[in-house]
Amino acid sequence: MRLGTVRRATQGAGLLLGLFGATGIGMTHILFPGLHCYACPWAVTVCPIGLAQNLVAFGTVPFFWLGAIAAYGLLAGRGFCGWFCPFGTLNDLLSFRRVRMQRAFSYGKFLVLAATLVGAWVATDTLFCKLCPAASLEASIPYLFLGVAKTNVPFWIHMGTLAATLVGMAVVSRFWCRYLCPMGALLGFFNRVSFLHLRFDAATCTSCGACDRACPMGIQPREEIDTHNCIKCGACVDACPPDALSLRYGLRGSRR
Amino acid sequence: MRWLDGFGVRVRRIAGIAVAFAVVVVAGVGGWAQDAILAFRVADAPVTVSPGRRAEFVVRVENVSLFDADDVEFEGLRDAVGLSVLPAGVSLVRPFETAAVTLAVVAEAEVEEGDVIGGLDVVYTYCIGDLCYQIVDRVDLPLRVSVLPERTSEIREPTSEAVPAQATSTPGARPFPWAWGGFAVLGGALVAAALVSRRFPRAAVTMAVAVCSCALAWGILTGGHRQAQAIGAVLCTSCVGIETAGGHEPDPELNDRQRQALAGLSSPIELLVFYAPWCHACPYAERVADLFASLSPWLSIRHVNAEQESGLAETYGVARGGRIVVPAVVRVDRGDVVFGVDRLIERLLDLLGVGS
Repeated sequence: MRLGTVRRATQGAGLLLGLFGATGIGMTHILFPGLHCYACPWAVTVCPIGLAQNLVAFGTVPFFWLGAIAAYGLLAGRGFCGWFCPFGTLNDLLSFRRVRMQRAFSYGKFLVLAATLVGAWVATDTLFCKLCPAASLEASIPYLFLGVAKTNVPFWIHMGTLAATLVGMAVVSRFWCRYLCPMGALLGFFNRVSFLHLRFDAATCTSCGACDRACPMGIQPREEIDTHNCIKCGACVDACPPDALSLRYGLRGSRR
Repeated sequence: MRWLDGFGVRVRRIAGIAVAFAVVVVAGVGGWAQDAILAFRVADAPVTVSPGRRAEFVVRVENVSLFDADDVEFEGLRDAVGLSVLPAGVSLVRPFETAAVTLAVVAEAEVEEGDVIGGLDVVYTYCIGDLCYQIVDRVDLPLRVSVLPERTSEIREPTSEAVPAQATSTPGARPFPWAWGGFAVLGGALVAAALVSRRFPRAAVTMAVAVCSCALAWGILTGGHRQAQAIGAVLCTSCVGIETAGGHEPDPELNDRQRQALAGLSSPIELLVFYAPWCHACPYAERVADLFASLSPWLSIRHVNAEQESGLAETYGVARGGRIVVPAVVRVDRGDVVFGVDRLIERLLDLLGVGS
């Protein structure tokens, strides 16, 4: 079975988990392994970025948060971006143009992460959430239909960021994941140590470049396996004619 | 639209995973999804009461969340014929502290003997920043009606007292002084692991696993998962800026009785109105305070920016540990504070000692 097919299933599961609160069940001690707004009326888990801002604003030492992020990082690293995150799935669905990654901009997500945390500390408020396009999509719009949200200035700011991000996604595949996502930055720290990893066999590679064309993040998988820009989606594995690339689970460096 | 290609396959797959997932969630949720904000424990259950008599019992109210629970009121008893509980409450339960509330259950003379589980209605106010929620909860109260020889059944008014946090309560909001040091060590180890991961992948993974387990264990021991639950338990529409809390209140108005009560003041009282620039509910509180001042010559009002005058805010308990709770109206001579805007006019009249 192609990895891409399996991935659609796990992305569906991610979306399902994201909307599972519609059943009335809340398990908000669990961090969502992706960027999924916890103000979403149907959210069942808590958004790691929103939680981090609240904890920073209130001066709590976030050991639990750190441990949970590290656990997710070890389990799959940015694989969650490619395989699970609902907002990543939206990015995926709008991936029409797989243009090359602008490496300098890819550090933007670390800047966004730092600014988010510093902003929460300085303003004792969840500033990032007020701009977050995932919140626009998963909270603002549903609440508008539920009659809670008003079409006020914060609402239009949300719509603005969402529209800009959507246009960005349509023009550059996985635009948000590439350059801006703070959750991607967090998981990116763990990309090299995570159990889910890609393996490249240089001996069978014919340097045809099919993987470069297939990569939604616009990186060159042969050179940049498991860097913070790789979401381990497996598009390159599916695309590789001689099967030089493979996706594996377990301790890296081990044979088989 | 390439992604449409495999659509049929995707839908079939979702259905299978949905079933598996639902099983996991339903199995795992039982022990976890409880006690989001206040946990109630009835001491000495079941509460025994004789027909025609009254019995007192204690309910321990533990705040397991990050924020204050205000105005915790036990309003009455349901599902127990012939039995009633007199309303009582406690005005404030601080984060991770426990309060004991003494309640009295009254049995009618003709009530049947036997055991019954009543439902005790609880209403409390829970504020996160400037947004307050009224939360209605229900506590199971095991009751036993029997004609046992009564011990002392002295009739006395329900009282409440705050007891200091117990050793068993979660110390999550009060980290050890060296907790940030520990956090820096763990975070530094993770960064180091990321840096050496290219050359020493195995060592890096081992380090990351160790740090992950340490942080998780430490976090859970200090109640981090409960904090996460408390923060996530509230659909914080104002956090994402959807809803501007308190911005829609009409102009405050006093009815005749309230105006007369205010005119009954006969000694000067100084009030401080604490606000913050980011607080949406503060303008309303300030308008109410100004209206009060315009109606009574004895009142003097001072508006205080709680962020700029943080020392003053700390003194009156409006700011604690860098967290500012506004709007807050302080009566200077007594040090009493009224937080929030819910029923503000009545609560301010109470603060001034002229409430009904």
